[in-house]
Amino acid sequence: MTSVGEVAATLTPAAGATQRRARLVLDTFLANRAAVAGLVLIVALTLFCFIGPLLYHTNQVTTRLGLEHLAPGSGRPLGTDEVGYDQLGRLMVGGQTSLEVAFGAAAVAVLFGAAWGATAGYFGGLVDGLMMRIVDAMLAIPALFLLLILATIFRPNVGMLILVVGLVAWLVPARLVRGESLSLRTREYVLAAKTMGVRAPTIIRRHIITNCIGTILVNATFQVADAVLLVAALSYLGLGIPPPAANWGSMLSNGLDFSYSGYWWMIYPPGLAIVVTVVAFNLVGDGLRDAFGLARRR
Amino acid sequence: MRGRSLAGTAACVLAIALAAACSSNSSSGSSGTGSSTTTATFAEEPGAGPDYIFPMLTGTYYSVANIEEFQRLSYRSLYWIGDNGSPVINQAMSLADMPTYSDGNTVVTIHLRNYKWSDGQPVTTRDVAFWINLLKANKASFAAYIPGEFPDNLKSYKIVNSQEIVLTLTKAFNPNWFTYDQLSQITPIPAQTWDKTSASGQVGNYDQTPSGAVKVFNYLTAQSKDIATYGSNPLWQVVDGPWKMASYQSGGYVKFAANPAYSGPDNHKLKFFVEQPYTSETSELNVLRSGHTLSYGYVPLQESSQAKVLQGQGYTSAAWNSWGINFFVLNYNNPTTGAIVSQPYVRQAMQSLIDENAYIKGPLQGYGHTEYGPIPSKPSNPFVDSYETNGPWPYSVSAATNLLKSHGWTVHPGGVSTCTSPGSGASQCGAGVPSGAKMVFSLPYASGNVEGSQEMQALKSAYSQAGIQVNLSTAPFNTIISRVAPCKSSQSTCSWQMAWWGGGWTYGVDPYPTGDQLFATGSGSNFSNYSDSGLDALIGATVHANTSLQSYEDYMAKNAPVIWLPMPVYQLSEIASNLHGATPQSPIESLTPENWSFSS
Amino acid sequence: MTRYLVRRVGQAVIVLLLVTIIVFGLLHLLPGGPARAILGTMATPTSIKAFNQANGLNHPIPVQYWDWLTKALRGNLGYSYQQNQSVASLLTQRVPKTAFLAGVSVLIALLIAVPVGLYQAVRRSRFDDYLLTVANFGLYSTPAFWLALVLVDLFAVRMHVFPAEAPQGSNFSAIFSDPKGLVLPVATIALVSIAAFSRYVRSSVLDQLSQDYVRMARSKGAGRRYVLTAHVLRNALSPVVTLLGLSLPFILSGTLITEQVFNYPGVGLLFFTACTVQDYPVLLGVILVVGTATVLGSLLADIGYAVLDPRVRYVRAEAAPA
Repeated sequence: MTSVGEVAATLTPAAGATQRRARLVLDTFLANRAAVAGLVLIVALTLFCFIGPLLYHTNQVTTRLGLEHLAPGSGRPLGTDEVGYDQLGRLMVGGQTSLEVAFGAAAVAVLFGAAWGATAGYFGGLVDGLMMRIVDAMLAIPALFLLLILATIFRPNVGMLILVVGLVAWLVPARLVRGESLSLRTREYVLAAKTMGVRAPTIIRRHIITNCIGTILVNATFQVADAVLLVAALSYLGLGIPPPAANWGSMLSNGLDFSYSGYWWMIYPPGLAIVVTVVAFNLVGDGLRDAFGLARRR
Repeated sequence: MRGRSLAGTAACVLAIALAAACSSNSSSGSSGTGSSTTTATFAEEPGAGPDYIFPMLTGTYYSVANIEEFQRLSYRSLYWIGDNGSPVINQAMSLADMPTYSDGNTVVTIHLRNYKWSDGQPVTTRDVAFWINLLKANKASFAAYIPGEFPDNLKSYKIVNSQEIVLTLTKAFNPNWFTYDQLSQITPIPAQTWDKTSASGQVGNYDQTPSGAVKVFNYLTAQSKDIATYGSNPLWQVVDGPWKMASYQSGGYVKFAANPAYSGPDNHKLKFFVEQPYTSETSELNVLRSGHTLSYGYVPLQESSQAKVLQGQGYTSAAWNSWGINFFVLNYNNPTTGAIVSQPYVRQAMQSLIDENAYIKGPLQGYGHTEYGPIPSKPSNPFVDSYETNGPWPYSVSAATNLLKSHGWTVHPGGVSTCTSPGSGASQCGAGVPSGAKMVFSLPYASGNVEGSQEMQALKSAYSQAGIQVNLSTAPFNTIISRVAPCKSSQSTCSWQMAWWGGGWTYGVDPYPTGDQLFATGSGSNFSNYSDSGLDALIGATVHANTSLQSYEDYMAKNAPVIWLPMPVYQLSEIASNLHGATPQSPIESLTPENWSFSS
Repeated sequence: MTRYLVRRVGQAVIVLLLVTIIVFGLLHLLPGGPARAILGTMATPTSIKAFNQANGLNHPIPVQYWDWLTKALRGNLGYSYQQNQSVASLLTQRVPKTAFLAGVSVLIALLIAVPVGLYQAVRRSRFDDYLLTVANFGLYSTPAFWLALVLVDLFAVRMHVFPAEAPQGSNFSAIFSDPKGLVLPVATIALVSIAAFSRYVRSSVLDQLSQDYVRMARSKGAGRRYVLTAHVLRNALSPVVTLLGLSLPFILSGTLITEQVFNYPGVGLLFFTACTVQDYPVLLGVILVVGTATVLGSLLADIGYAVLDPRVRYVRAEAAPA
């Protein structure tokens, strides 16, 4: 016996077509050299942060006052930071936090945002009006302003920061997905599923969100890049993750506190790590967007 | 390569458009005040500009910037604290002679010296009584008021003549404590111009009834809330201090002009004194580094290496020692950790894990001094003793570990120590500490301070060597303060365990360094909820009897009711090398630019 | 058109109301409450009680909100907890300054971004396009505070060309007391915005270049330069106009950081300091102003879009929610 959902599923574009489309997307993406370079950079950075510490052992637990601010030399390729941690090892550990927060926040943002947008778009009418006005209202507060309020309320640690940045970032995907689902809900297979009595959450999950996957994926990539920058800005304003946890943003702003003292190794490595990461995710995002054939939104 | 040239052109357009727009009239800019020999410019602490002139201020406006660096320039207190850098009464700068105590220290006689208001009227005992009357009727609105203290401890006063006033107290007080902590808060204010209830109203004797005193207070408060009129309001033009406000801008920019009628000791080489606000240490340093607009600025400690560079630019550095102490607090009423920190041996172990000398050498770059008790060891003062200065609990991980081990704890260096021998015996964990209790504490501390962050990381690292796990978090100073409040263990607000707001206590309006406000059971600023009848008796003796502070401070050093941290300098000042008379700097951060002068 | 307009304005009002409700609600989630944050280490139960009473914090939250809203509608935004000033007077000092900073920066950014984007589109996939794209990406990806401090280091500390600090003073005219001080803050915001804008202009022009009418005009023998300026640029700029309205939140976030670095007494700085001391009336006031500006920006963008491009008006009205 086939369930109603499965019947409805057969009304969606054939599985073969989906596969062909995925193939096309992949081919277009791989033909884009900049995008591939971005992807390679992301993989390299991730390996550096997560595999690096296994190969390059440093003590990131015990502070060593008296060994702080040492310039790069033998045994410490990037010198030490303001409490005597090895800066290269710190860069790896800090990168873990930066990437975790960025990926986490992007995931929270697109998952929640997509669900919100798809629901609003699917139901339309009053529900849509109300849900989207809430999105509009939060979008009317500049991201950094909203982030500041949230960061003061919730004492930031990694989990909290993911939530806080996600709470600010979900608005754009919500709007994008809602736009697409407005047209998707009038598609034949959605109407068919509806008449067969498939429940709304199932339709939203299986038909609306699945068909917005391109938009969602592209947006998620940009969200990661934005999250890295937002966390850096928060760290600079003193509302980032407290030490001893480090992230590239806090390392950079720590370094900048000493900028007159000439400790360049405390500024450029984390600063460049941020720039490279953000560029890489933007390149991949651009590539994905072209591959999915979406309109340029940024 | 046309692409590059285009981008280059674009950048030039940007720079030129802006530069051209401004170069035309840049010479008329406000820069260059430092080069004038009649105006000195002082950099305010970041984010703390003065904005309240009426000296009877509420807690909202209570700050060094408002009191010591603003109001005191125009309104002098009865007794001036700070003499040649030491936190003692400066008799030459006080409005009155040293008070005499009689009748078993229950009666105080105060004799005013010959000071004049800028309108030519003498400063009289009527002006002192005016202050007392306003305070009595509005005490809850005065930041420095503490229930039970002045004016609650004043039974009555009697004006003998225009220069002599006699106060009768409710009981006997230690004359030192009473002069330093109570009389120094009295700021005579000009009754001949301020004793009115509206701008158009006549000056009268409204302060002599409580309801009239409330009206006068409300009027003066409302006027003080109208900062747009600060430079022009006739009220604030009547001063007895050496400086009169000339102009004021919201945000904290203030320009003082010398009061030509000032009747105190001064040289008055300067015509103007300017205070300049900054948002951050970095922005202030940028200004210091890039020009000569400041005659008196500061270098953030983490950038103290810049002192050498600034020397080449015509600045001399001077460490400013503040009359204060530094510590972090433990919540004795926290349901989980309160019982643990209530054990003196635990606090002694925690104190032994603070490597004060390393903190001073590292994070503080040498600009600080060790502090092991409630009385500052610097600036030099007659109150501190050697037991406290040397510190009974020097840095030693093994000593800390042994203290815990010998009291029933199984110590896991790098992990979490647990209580394995509960009970109140001499070798057991102590009353209220259950078996399996863990040495885990959360410690929020104030963000925005680089040295502080370095110290807290080092502290976490050292504590973990004795198996004490400290979970750090950060928040702005005000947020920390708002979450750290005296509480009962049943209250939800008592969930905090430890806290450091980035400092400890500054003996500002209460310069006599005893613990009546800080450590006495139930006192207003006893955030820890510390309660110790032995200590209460010692504190009481310093307030009421003529007892020295020694037993109190030794007890505090030994028992460490809070964990002492090294005291950083208030700031590393950078003073234009041709500006003289600015050092030694006041231990309570007041400014006396009437003594300054530029050499050419 | 009128119906569309009325509905859009109605939505904008609802959105603004929601903004205040959301922020008001969020602020009251703050643990501890503002009294201790404001009164500091000297706070006593008496002074806390007096503070809460004086500021109406002892009432239930909905009552407090209603109180705030009705006063705000009458133009009374309350009195700062921390600073000795009314919120309205703080805003009247600060808003023009931020508006000026943002306005000048955006203007300069556009003057540069439009030619750069146009040039890149024309030179698509050539070496100089790549070069500019890389520069754009680099600028866009650099944390604004770092960029600002690099500018300070170069131009203020090393070369002594421009001051490291923005002009001070509470009057608007104070900005012009030392216009040199504006160079670096303006440059910071402009540089970040150029990166975003020129990317947008480039793709917008590329879209136009692929349109039929361009090919047609070219085939009819119209000069390349003529087609570019007369047709392509004009058509490509209408989305740019809307971008301006929509990019307001982005610009304002940028001013917050810039004001902090350069000690520029604007709204962003006011908001930041108010945040650290839980100065509710100021926070709400700033959010109200900033929110109104953003909502107005997107409203104007929508209307401008509809006016500039009649096709859009129809489609938009169709797609707009019921």
